[in-house]
Amino acid sequence: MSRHAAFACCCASLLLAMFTPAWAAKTVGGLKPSNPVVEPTLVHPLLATRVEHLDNGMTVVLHEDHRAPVVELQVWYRIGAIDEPAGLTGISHALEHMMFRGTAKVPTGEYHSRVARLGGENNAFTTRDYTYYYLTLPASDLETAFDLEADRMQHLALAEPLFKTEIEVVKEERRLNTENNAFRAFGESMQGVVYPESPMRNPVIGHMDDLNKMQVSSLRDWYGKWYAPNNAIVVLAGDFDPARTLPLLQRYFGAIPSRALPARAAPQEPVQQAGKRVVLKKPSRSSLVSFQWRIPADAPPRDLAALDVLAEMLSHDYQDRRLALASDSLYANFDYPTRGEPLFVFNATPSKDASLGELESAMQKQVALLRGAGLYGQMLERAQQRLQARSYFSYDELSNRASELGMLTLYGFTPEQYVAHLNLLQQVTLKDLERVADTYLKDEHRVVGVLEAQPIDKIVATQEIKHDR
Amino acid sequence: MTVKQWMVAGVAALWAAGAAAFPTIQHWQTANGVPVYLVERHGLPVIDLRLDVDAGESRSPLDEPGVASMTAYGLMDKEYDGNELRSPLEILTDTGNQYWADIRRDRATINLRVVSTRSPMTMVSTVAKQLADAKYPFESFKYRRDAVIGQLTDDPAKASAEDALTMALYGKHPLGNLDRRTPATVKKVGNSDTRGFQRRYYVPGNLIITLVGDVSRADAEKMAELLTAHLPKGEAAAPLPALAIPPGPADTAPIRLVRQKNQSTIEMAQLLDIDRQSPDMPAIMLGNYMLGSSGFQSRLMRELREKRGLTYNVNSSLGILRGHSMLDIEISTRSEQEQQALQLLRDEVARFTREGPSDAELSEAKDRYLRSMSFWGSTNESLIGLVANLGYYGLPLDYYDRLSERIAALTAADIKTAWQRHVDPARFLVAIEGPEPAKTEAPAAAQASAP
Repeated sequence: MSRHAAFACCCASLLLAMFTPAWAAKTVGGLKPSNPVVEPTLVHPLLATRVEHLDNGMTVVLHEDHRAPVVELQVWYRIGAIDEPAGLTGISHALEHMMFRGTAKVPTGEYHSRVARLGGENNAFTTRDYTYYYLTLPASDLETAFDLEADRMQHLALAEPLFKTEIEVVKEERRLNTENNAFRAFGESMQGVVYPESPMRNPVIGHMDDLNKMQVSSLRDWYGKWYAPNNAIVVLAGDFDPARTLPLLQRYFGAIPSRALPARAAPQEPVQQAGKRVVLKKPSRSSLVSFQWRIPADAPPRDLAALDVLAEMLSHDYQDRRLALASDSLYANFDYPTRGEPLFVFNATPSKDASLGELESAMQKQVALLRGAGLYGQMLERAQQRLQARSYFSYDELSNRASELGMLTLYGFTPEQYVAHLNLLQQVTLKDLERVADTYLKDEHRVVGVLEAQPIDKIVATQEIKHDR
Repeated sequence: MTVKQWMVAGVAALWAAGAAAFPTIQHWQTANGVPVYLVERHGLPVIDLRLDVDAGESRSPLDEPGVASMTAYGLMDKEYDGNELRSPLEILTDTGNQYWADIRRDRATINLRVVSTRSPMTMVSTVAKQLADAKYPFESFKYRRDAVIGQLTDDPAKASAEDALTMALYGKHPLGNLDRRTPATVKKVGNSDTRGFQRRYYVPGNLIITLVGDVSRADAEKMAELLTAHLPKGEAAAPLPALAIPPGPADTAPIRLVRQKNQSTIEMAQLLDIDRQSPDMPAIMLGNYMLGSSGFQSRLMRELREKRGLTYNVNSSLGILRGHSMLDIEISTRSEQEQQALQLLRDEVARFTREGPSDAELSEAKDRYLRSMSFWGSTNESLIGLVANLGYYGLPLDYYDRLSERIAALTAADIKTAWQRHVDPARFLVAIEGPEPAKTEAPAAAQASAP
């Protein structure tokens, strides 16, 4: 469930970009836009943030925003699918569900109803790297938020009968979002091939086999191990007074004893596997071709920034007419930061008239162009402008501010370091882009995935997964 | 203008210190009579601006659904003139600003989101020039049309449970044009059609402008004048023909869309003969909130998810247009239990209609609803939607204040009466996307989980 407004790229813009013939871009390549934007320096909104550490190891992030009389509290735990051993995939997410099923003091259903009675809202997300809970309340009810979260950090009931019902909900969630969603099922298959050994392969929702045999005792154990203040970050954003709030935070969370955390498995993988290929046939409205490259975790900051910008460019601008004709939509993403290792993804769906083979070879050509100085200055500037503007737009949502702060803290960045990374994005040059494409996006390091859409209403051969080496 | 207070006396006690005030809406008309709504908010360097035009698909000719869509989507297309390096769309988006057009059943919305320090006036004048003289040049028109065609299906009634229901409910009424767009109908649309449509409907009498964000009144006035001064002349479009909401046969068999899935999506809907102006609307809204649109607190979530683990999500929603609304309930569940889930949904709607809420349940839900209203419009993005709705449907500036008053005054009997007057539990149209019925009774086919 994602309530955070995704800034759906406006398809109109994409369409026009597609329409602009490659030669048009070439004639102005390297030139500055005709009316460069003169922009006064804006202080980045996230810099107005204070980070504190309680004695028990809990990190507290405070961000004031007085636009509306609302506060958002988020509690982040550094636990996710990447920490799960074989046979227990999905346990972090199942535990997230059970976090709403009651403590000794707050019986099942009561958490939701207390928040709702105050007019607030709440939910939670589990990902590969972390689990976080949020609740939004009127500013005057901040203390209720502290009370609820401090309580379930320590006293979760994990009652067996409720677990039996809740795990059925989780299975429905898996059926909804993975088993009957071809793109997600394909993503899960790809993940298994890109990361044959490491827990980076684990699906967050968990494999159905693991969900079928999951026991509440394992959840108790998982909760006991990881839900400790020294494994948590509390982010508070919105309309509050820090001087009054810090003592409250200390009162509710400061007395929770810290615990020694178990050692985490370091997600080590052998180097890239050359030329792997995944083919999945599944009922779907559209086919998909995906190229994925694992990127070394120790790549220098400037390279990481360049890969971010490159993904933004690839998502929005076609440089090659063949790809414009062969594809209906493009998507590129640089998955960074991560607790494992970064991943660069380039996906495209085929246009009506193009075969999957034609699409794949057009994508291949596009990637080759990146390596051979085939990029245009204008596209780079557009991507940088979009990245910057989008960050302002996203701060309209208090939640986006809070979750960005939670995430950057979880990955070990200060707001200042994070803003420095954003600034680095603006300094990326064409030469940087060529260098990172040449260094990291090599054919021999690439996994190619093909989702072959089957009719959604007809029975077809059972799904087939080919793992070629 | 006085500050609009959300609070009403009856609920004032619920609102602790720092009670929310609905942001002040400034309202005026341009020189040629276009209504403008503005909420200034200077905390973030962003301006949201939108035009809501009575030029949704309902204005396409009945035999040519798609004209309204092509008109809205191609509004910024222009041939390069002389030494121009950039098209209007490039001017708008190269700086990272965002422009997009939405097409709905009953309106077209042109949206612009700009960083307030990135030449907002240039952005607005770029949009204004196109509004005044949209040409729909053939090459880009054709390209865009092919892209739209690629998104459509030949048989929309089979595209999804939702489409199947709306097609059946709206039938041949213009409000059903949106669903009746197919590759064949859009292929018939030419750029002379869109030019004609744009000149007929994108006119001063037929649209409103809404702005929210980091913009002063003076600049907002300038922007509104820029956008409207050179629009083609024209009056408001005539009202649509009345939408007949026939009682319809009771308990019709569900429409089934066969899918290769192990989970069925069930959707049930009916049209209600009321809109935001109707006295019963607050009771229907609060009733819907209690039944299925308040997340974990709703009856449907409690009964089907929390107690029985039948689904990840079930919800009801109320889509309100001019003159009518649509009540829609949706659930996804393991296919073997689809009939059980459908029966439970029917039972819960019937029970709610028959008995209404208890007094205690009502007072608790009302409290929650009124408090949650203090979050309405907390972001610029959500606020502009609320304000634009108010303008587009001709509601008074204090509509949201009055709504909270009317919600606060509701009794359990009001809800029951309104629900019984407008909702007929036996007359929901149902559509199911899932495996063939025979399969739903057999044990689940072994579904191997991914590796």
